[in-house]
Amino acid sequence: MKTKLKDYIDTIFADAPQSYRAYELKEEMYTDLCEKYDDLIAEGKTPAAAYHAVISGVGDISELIEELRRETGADTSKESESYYYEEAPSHARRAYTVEEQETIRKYRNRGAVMTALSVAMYTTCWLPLVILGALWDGVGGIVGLCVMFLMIATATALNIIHGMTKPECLRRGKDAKDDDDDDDDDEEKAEENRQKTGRRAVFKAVSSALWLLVVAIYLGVSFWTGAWHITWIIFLIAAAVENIIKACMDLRS
Amino acid sequence: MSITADLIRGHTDTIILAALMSGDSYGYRISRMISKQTDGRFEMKEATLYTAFKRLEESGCISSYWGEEGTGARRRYYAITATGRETYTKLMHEWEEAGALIERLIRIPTADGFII
Repeated sequence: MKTKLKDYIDTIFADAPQSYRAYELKEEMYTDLCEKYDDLIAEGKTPAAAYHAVISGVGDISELIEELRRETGADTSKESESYYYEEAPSHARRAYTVEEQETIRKYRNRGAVMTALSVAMYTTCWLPLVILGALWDGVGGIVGLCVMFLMIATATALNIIHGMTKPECLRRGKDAKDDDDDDDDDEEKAEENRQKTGRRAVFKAVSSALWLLVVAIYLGVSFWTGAWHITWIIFLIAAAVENIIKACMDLRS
Repeated sequence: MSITADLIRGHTDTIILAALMSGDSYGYRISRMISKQTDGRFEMKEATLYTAFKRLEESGCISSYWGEEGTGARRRYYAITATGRETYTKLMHEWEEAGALIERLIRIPTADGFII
């Protein structure tokens, strides 16, 4: 009959958040209800009658569950962070502080400028090659090519810097969403995840820069030498280099 | 009876604080004490009891700790704090005042005093 009591408690707490506080409350309630049940049996009640008397005395615990939810929602800074995200339909429910909002606004503004600049550089990088090549026979081509690569490199660098200076609060939000099925998301683990996500972001930035550079080098070398039949090998070399970088990063961590 | 129950429920905090004034106790012991004191005419629902514990603990009126029973089952004990004692005195005072006022308001006045 006591297992039935436990089952009953589990049923009425089905809607409660899976927090430590809720678990404690269930344990407290179970001990108390068991004692009540034992008392009723000692008074001469049948197990079934005692069970029903105990159950009917519990009452409506919806208010209690509401309290538990409010509590779990309120202390997102503590261990229950993951539960908060589990409930949240979108990241919109995550509240940023005023300073964080300011940081995010600045980050987005800076990002817009950087993206605009880099796109402008990517689209116009062929200009120096053509103009200098036409104006200045011989050496003009090399100088133009150098300027073109310089522009591509600068544009890529802008993108990487933008990616790497992402505010901590935005990364944190992404982290929690990544592993919201995790039950004991303690500080250490969160820190580890943050580092992992950070490394992933760096690698992504490096790899996108690498491939842009590779395309530029491929086109540059191919036009320059005219050896189109063999220059495709650059892509194979680039793939190998990318994997080496990945391996190095994994080893270092 | 339902009016009585509602009236009593309005004083859940005072009742719990009063029960803890004479020493630390746990949920079931308090609820058993309440039904014994009322000769079984009033039984506090567990839901009401635990909600009140939670509220009182959050406001600093009571504190809780896990007692070691030795039989494996843990029992949560509650103790009244200094704030809790103050709150109890205040609530008692309010109750006495309100009681006296209600007493005056619900009696029907007659020429030579009150009926009933």
